[in-house]
Amino acid sequence: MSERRTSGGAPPDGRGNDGASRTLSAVARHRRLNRVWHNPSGLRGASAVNHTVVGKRFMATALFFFFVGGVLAMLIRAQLATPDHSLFGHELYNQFFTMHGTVMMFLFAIPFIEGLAMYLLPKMLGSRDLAYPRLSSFGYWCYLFGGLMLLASLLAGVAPDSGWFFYTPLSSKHYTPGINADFWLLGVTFVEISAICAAVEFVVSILTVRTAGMSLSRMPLFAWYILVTAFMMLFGFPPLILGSILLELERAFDWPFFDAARGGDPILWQHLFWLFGHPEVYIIFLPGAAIVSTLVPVFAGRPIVGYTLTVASVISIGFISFGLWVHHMYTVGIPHLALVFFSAASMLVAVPTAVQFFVWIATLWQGRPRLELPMLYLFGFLVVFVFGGLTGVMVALVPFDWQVHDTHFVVAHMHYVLVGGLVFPMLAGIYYWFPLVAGRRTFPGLGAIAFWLIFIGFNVTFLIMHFTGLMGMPRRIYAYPTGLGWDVPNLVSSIGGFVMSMGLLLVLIDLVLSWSAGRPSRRDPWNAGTLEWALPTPPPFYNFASQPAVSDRNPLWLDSSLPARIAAGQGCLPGDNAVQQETLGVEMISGRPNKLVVLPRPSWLPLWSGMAMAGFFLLVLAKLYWLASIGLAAALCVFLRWGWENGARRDPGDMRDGLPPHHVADDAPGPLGVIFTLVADATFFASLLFGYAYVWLIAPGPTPPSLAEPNLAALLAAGALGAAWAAVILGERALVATRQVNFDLFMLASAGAGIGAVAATAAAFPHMPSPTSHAYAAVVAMLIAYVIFHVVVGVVLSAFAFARRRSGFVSVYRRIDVRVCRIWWIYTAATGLVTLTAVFAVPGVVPA
Amino acid sequence: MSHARPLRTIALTAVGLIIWSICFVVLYAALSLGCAAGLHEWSLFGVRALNVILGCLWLVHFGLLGSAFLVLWRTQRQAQAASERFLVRLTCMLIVVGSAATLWVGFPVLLLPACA
Repeated sequence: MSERRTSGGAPPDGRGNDGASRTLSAVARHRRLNRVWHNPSGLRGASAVNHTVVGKRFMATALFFFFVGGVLAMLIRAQLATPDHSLFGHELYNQFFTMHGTVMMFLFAIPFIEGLAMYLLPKMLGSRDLAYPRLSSFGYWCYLFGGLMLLASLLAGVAPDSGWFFYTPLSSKHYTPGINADFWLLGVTFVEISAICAAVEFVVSILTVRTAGMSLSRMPLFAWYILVTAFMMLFGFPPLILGSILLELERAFDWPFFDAARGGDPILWQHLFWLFGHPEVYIIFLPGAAIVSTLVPVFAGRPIVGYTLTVASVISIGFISFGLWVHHMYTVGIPHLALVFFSAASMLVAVPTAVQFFVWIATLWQGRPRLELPMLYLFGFLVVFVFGGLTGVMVALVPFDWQVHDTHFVVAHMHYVLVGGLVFPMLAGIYYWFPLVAGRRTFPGLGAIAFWLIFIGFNVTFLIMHFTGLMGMPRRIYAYPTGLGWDVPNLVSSIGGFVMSMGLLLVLIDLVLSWSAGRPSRRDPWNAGTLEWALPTPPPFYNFASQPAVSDRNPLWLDSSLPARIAAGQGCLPGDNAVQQETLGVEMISGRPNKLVVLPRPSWLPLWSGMAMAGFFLLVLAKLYWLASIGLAAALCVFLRWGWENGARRDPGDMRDGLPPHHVADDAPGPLGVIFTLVADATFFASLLFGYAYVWLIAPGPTPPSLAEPNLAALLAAGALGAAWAAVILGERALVATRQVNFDLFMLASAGAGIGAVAATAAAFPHMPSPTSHAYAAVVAMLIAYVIFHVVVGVVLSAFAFARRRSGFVSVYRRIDVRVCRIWWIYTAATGLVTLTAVFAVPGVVPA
Repeated sequence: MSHARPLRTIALTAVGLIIWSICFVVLYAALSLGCAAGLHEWSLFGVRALNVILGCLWLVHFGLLGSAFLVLWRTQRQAQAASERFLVRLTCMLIVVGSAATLWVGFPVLLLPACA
């Protein structure tokens, strides 16, 4: 990898170039950069990791799943169009509505957002790629294989059929004995890995991989929205991953987490699911709002009114939306005071949402709005989402929610929020950025007709559905008798649904036609101010011939000659002497360049690791657990190989005149990515502790058995964890002091202490009852497994750092491997000690 | 510069909402555990003990919010660059939001019986 300090001898701020390199013409510079950033085509294209390629793959795959979900919706509407209709029986209908929700939420909405953000972020932030291109690619393969797994279940007639939020005990083994539920639990977990990868990618890229001068206060609002969304994903998805693992363990091994007869509680599933499920609504809405906040200023012809206020409202939504999860559980029997907490928070979240609406209205009011096609879709968004927001406040009120719970009113509300919050902004965004992606314009007449079909069709379908719900029609029934007053509204809803589908089909036709036969687009056809429009259309893989130094939130409005100057190499890292893929890394707050992030070439490793993970999940699905462990081991080998390719075997030379490559920088992306991965991991752990406390103190049923008395082995386990932690810290100090032999010994000591910790933890439970006997025993077993898993990974990391030092990848300057190891051991020791305290010490103080 | 300082600065921008989150979780957890332990059946000077505990926990968070605002007030003069001033403004706004949210979500502990 890179031993070079910089490309083209850039000065410390990464700006400018020497005289010699400026002699290249724009075309020659383009050719040179194109050679360096070349991506293979055909079958070899599967190895591409460039954000433009991976982003487009995500979006195209998500749109395919949108089509699948749409077809399922039409089947549902065809079934409900008339009373006593029996196009298909209840078994198939259950699969269709479950898969409609699952596909739309997990395989369309989130992945489309991920793809859009992957494609746009580097272009908007003035960089050449994201921080971890291979991670994005790995995430895509996890998403694709997980999605195909779910789709295969549908084609085989064994699709999940317990509803998209999968309540227990309906989804438990007793009531859903087949493989249907396992497809959901494993497929969704697989896809969620992709979401966590994307979230880590976005947070680190937004914070550290921007162009020169792009401080946090100058960042496009789109990036702020995605930053908050990515944090929400890190905190929101782990509870669902945990819930899915627990339910799969219950189904596969009879560990009774949700079985009330053995100390579990089905309500625990609802808590874990909605801890994810409600923030999920905002995870979907915020990127939609990001599109709105990007487009409104462009079509108003002025900067957004209240930039800081908008950022504050987005962050507020990010936090408050986590305080709403119980508003899906008002009917389960929770104390009134607790209901009021959640009802208050549910109403509260409307305030920052409304602030954004006022910001958009004020921006339009202050500007000179142009009604172009994307703006038409934004008006659709404004109308539909406001309506969904208002019914959201209605269902936030406990007495009203009790009346409409599980009726079609809630179905209508949810579609107003999700279609209004994502689909309309998404379509606006597609029409807005299509010229950038394809280099061509769409057909405005076709797009306008499509809009009116979608808008009218949507409202005909779902507006009337509120009344169907108020008349008492429950959701998820596959047939209904005539004479209840539901006949006409259902027929109207079905007609509306098909009208909407025609509109969406017209959008598809428009895009396909325009891609091949649309009028070529000039650069920046909307007179926008953000950096992506400084690029040629369609953009090259390297994005910017030179990275612009910015001093404003709308650089193109400030300087219309910027695209020409970028092409002429007058920005940072002109790349005239480029031999490797690199982009500027910046200080998080100020945006001052402080390193060069060296990026990987196309690689097969993401595909191999995705395939290994797919093998693991498929073998678990087939209940071939020993073989599945081989799949997991294969994935570990690929990940180690992946890690081995990073870094350099020599220290860089004199860095006085340039920026250091990232592998010697103190704030390299690698350790930062580990920190944010551990944020998600810590949320998983906190959710598990919540489950532990819930089963121990709250769940009905038999009293938890006494499992563990404090003993010597537990003390030894705690001591070994502390020793592993200390050994890594001492090892890093030895490395800094250039005592490399000591470093090696400390790394081996940390690995040895880890092995000791595993043995002592296993010995600390001499009289452990079977996890199948009581939910408390099961959740304690899960905690122990969590700790042991982390210790084993820690041992591997210590051995890896040892081997890397021996191979010359680690030095006093190049310490990324050691820092990753240190961060991991600190986390592992901390969670291990918390677990041992929770299991051994707390029960003695607080009786169940 | 390592990650620690800028990351801490960025994280502290949301201190107002972090305190609100803690308050929310503490109130809900204390209510659930208090009800499970039967604390609602006790009374202090004619007032339900669990409501008193919840009220005290609620007030503690206002103390934290006030402290956060004071610290911000003292440090804001050091902010020189535009990006630092932006973060100070943002922090201030989010402390106000956190305070309003804490007030709004918590005041029912003064009005409603805890475990009904």
